[in-house]
Amino acid sequence: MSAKRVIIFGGDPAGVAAALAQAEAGMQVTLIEPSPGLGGERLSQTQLVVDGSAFVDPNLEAVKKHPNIRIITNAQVEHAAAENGSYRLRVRRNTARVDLEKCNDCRACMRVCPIHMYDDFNEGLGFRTAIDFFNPETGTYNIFKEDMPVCQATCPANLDIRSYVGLIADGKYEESLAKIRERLPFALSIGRVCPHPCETACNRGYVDEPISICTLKRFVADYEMNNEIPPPVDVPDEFHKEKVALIGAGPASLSCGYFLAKAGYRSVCFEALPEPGGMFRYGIPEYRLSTPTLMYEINWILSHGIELRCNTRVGKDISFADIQKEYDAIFIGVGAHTGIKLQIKGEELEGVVDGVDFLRDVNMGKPVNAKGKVIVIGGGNVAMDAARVSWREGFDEVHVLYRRTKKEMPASPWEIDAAEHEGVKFQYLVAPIEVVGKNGKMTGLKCLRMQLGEPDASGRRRPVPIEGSEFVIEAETLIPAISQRPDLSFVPEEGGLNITRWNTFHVDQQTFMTNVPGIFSAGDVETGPDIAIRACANGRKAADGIIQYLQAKGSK
Amino acid sequence: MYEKKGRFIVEFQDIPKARQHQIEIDVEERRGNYNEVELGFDEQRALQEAKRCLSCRRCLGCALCWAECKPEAIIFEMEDEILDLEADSVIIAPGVERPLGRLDKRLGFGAHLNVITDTQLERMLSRTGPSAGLVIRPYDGEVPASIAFVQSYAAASPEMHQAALCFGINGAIQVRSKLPQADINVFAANLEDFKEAHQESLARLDRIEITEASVSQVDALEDQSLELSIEVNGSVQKSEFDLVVLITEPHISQEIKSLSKSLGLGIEYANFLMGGGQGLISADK
Repeated sequence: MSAKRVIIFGGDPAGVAAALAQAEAGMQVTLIEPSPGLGGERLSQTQLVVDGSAFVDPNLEAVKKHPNIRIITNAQVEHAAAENGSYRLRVRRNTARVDLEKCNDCRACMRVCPIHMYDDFNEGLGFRTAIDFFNPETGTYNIFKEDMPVCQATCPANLDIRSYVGLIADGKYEESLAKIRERLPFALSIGRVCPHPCETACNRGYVDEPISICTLKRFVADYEMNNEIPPPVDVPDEFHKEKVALIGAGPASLSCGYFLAKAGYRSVCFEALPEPGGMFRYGIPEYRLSTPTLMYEINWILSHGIELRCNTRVGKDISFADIQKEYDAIFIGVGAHTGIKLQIKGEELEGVVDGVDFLRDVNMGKPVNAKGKVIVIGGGNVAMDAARVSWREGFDEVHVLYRRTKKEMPASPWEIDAAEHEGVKFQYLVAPIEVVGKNGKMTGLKCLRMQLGEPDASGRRRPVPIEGSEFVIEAETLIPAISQRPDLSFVPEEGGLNITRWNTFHVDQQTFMTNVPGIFSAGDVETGPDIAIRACANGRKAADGIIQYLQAKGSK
Repeated sequence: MYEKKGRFIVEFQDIPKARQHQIEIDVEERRGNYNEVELGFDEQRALQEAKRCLSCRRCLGCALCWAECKPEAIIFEMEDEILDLEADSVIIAPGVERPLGRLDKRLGFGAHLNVITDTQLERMLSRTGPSAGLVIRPYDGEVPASIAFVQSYAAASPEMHQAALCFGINGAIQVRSKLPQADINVFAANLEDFKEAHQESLARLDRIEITEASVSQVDALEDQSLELSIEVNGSVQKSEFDLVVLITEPHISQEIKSLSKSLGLGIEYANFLMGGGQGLISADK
């Protein structure tokens, strides 16, 4: 029998030790390390070392010389799978751009390099040049050139932020907007509602405060709209004969349709509600994203070649099977619009309305019985939206109940601040246990006080009830906003679509195709409740997947 | 901000420093209507803000090094390599990452040069590090006479908390061996389990004071020494130190999580540190 093949990922002392042990046992070892050189000495994280050196020093020489060990540094795993009794890994070895055979370690390059960046090998203590040896011990020279800056790498849509911000600084607003639209059609909307993970990652944050990337994106989009500059519609002269059905008209579907159209594929979009936009239209309150602004953007997107059919619920007004017959590919982007129940007694009483239902009703202009006190339950952005909308509707008092503390709240900090400014009252470490009522109507909420115990699997401290701390808050309205799930009741059982235990679709992460060929999905219905820009980003990736699929089908 | 031998980050006069803020309507104007609250930037603010961008770049391709390199070892055209590998078993030595973005601003990291993290100290202690193994204050290069190790996170899962404490105190042990005269203090919370697990080693620590406490604020004094607000048993006291080392919360990187997931390995949050402390996850076919 030939020697067994072992892949070891990670060249820290533990990985190096494992490589040596496996190689000594006769295995063929491949050691993969993401950084340009194998790691240096490390402090132990598992035991206190009181005598001698606390450093664990890997035996680099032995590993380098061992005939059974192949070392691949500066490498990322691009694709990994377990199949047919073995593991397959696709690895990208980033180029060093330095021929180590020729390099004589004279350091002349480092003396002339004009780029001084934070020294990553030394955890940002001091600076290094862009051309550098990674670890002075190993002397592996390389040129550090990233394909994208940290903001772009963090953005789910990988927007070229550095370019579009730079273009704004040069006063080239239309070019900046065009740069954004290469990867995202929703600049007006995302520029208003995005929680901007890019800003959290921004390197300027280490100096003073991050760049206000999100608002800059909004600025160029506003600039075009306010100055009545007609937004460009670039589509091919001729469209392909294939047609794609989009189910749902939210950020994921419309992004998908936009990029399909730009590649010359027409689509028809089925929307159950009276107007398009999905959570942009029916989830996000007007004061964050107004309907006229949203519709301005959506109408421009539709004009690329998407036919919209509103008030058409799939499974009721048109069957899923009919769509499957009529269209060459289907994209499902129906979002996650069903609120999760609190699972407590009295939830069926009049006066209890779920967060997403409440926001949808208000966004549809339905009147709200805004009397007395309202209690919102939850700590996420939907809860903040529900609270701030309640306050605008004119409730006497708006209370938000959260079972942990402000520190653990998942909502964006600026949304919590805004709610506080507007007079929303927060009660922390409180959990509901029963809705109490009279004659079928809610009159109050029985709650328990909590304290924080041991951290749970998510690393957040678990709230534990304090015994005997029951109390009742009198209120006529209760809005639970703890989380949402997709409603997949329109999917026929015999269709064979795999559905996860979170009631979402499972898709290939490159093509966004489900287990059924020709059916694609992205957005909250695939990820579960997530941020809008991820839905837009995945909608674009799904469009690429659909185009690939249609081209492959057409060439047969 | 930084001023070191021959290396500067200059504050240019024409680059605005402060972040621009959106125009917002007053709270009084918001009740009973749905008018947009945030009004975005006007052109003036947008231009100012866009100019703050550092345009993060690494190598520019200026080719100065290429011109300088006598053995002609620098090859800009060298391309990435794609390797398809197959194996019968996979071992992951994931290590951990310690995201700096989550550090509490009140602890002064990024604002005060003499506040460093535990991983920075690890580099400093290493003979291959920036100071060749000397423990110094980044601000002035002085040898610190008093060092505080401070837990920087509110709470972590029990395994990660133990790993963080272990890592931090090992750093303290190393500092003791290099600076025999220094005062070394550790301030951390939820020490019970840790003390029990490492009873023997802790009994043999050489003048390293470990206190059950939380530090709520780190302020810099004029000489860039640090004043800590330390809460012990409900009362706050202030103490001065030359150098502060933040004990950070370890996380498993997203990359490792998704790699494990696609290989079908069950990776429970934080469990990789258990099982004899090898720090390995392995799978066989």
